[in-house]
Amino acid sequence: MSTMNIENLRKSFGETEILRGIDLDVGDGEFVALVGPSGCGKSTLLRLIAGLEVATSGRLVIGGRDVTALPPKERDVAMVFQNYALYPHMTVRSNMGFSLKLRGAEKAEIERKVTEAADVLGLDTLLDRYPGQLSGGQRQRVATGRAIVRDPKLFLFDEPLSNLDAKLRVQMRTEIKALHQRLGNTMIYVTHDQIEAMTLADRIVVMHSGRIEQEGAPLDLYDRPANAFVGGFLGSPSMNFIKGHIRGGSVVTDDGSVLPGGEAVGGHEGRTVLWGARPESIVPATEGFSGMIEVVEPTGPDTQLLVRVAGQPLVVLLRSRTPATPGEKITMTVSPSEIHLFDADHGSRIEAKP
Amino acid sequence: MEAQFKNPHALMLRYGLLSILAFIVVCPLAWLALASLRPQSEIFQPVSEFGWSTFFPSRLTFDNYRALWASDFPLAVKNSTFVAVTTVIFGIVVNALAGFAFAAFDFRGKNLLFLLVIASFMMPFEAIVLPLYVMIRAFGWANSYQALIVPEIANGMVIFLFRQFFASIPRDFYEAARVDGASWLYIFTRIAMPLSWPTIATSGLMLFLSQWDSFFWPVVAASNPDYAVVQVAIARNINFEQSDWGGLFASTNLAILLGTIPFLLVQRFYVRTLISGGIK
Repeated sequence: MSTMNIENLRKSFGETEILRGIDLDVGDGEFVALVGPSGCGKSTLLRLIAGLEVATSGRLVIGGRDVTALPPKERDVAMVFQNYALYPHMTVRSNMGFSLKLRGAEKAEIERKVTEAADVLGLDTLLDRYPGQLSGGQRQRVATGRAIVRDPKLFLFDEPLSNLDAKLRVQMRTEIKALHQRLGNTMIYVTHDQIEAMTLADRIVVMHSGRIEQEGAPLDLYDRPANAFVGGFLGSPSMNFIKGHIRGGSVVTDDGSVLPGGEAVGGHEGRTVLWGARPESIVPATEGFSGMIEVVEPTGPDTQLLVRVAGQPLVVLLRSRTPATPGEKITMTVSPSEIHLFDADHGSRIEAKP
Repeated sequence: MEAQFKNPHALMLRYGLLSILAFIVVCPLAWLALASLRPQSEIFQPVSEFGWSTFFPSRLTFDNYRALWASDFPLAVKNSTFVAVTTVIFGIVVNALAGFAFAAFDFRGKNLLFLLVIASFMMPFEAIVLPLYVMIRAFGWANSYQALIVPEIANGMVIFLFRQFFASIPRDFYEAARVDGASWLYIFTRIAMPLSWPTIATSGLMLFLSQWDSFFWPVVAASNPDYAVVQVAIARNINFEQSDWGGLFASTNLAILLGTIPFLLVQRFYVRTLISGGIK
């Protein structure tokens, strides 16, 4: 059983508190992505799970065993590092067999497991090469292979694709997903790339300055962000925010522009809010709110517009090659269910009061 | 490349100056080498009238080397080789371990300790000769190989070199190995050391040469002729009664030639860089 439970885990470096009480339960075979901006503590959390850092307080349980105070080698976790950390003086074969050799496994068993993993990852022809002779994608695969041969309770990935070019990253992303489906191991994956998190994970944990902001299934987080931070972090281009007051079922900005209020306005008359809408939720319409087109960016399938509404820039993503000219006026609307309202002070999500 | 398009006179001047410098550097060594091949009587004779014969002997002879072979110089070479090689072997292990500790671990007083290590090689050896001798005698090591070897094993400069190198190895290597279940000693022997061939080669040379060239300490600590090392044996050619110049030159020459052997052996490690490839 490869579950993991974290209870009120804290970590400080001197005076600086990096993790301010993390609670997280990961189920057997689950793929969990930790996302957040730089410095949010996601990598530190991963290193704590690996045992490379010692927690200041709290409890960490892997597979039902309290490992809070145990060194890395007794935790039965495997980690794929951002820069792969392949031993340059060892062949791919020895790199992949390293942990098994350490455990004192039989030569034949090492050979069998390495060959097996190499088959899965398409590395069978590269086994006798040195890391220096491999391309970036191949090195990434070897690093993954080194983790696979161990068959650990927990796989940890620390931004494993961030050193690859865009095209390769997409390809490797698919490979990691396929790998998880095939192996079924519990995996914890740290990334700052929210698309990677969305596509790979069963569950996303969004972190921000040492705390978990929200966790849940990717699309749930996307559709119902618990606060403005999560709303703004997930999605690219990111969610638009405009400040205003709820008045008569609409959101009125400081300069008097009227934005549709959506489903959540009920019972919040007069409250100051952040009005949020994703770029793709905003569609041109005959009636609605209007703005001035400032920039038009065709990307092929989509057209991205920068529209000035209520004196603020608003990104609009049109799923068509809509002809648009800068300087033109455009009228837009948003479906009520796709409007998000957040408290203007603390950013938490506002739901309609009955 | 650029030089091709420059003023040919400037070029001539540059190479002219370089040639003179090269000559100044090589000249004494060449004279030494050739002087060792002269008969004893002829060594200083042509110096006063500087010319062709200053450098080229009228008659080449190996008499000086033959005499050396019959003396206790071979024993000194054997002693020096043993002392130097042993120091290199133990020195690399001890200093690399110390350097690794400084690079990989955080412990209380680490910076102060490292400062002391650096201070230790800033300190002139003459300043510690007496206390060192007192210690060696207290151990009962006077006139022994231990006296020549043990004080030279730990070397601040070499610790410094190793620390700098190990600190430059990305921590991910160590951490990956730890997650894979390696002990620190295993990481040191199987990952850190195999990556540090250039540093091992440099340190080995430094330790070897410091022992091969050492004179003062052997004179103090091991005055017994049985433990005479090369430099001490060379110096014995000069004394108050008479100086054996032929023997002096021949033994100096041999000491230089033998001292270059380790250089030739480890040369190829300087060009080998193993660190590339494992980390993107």
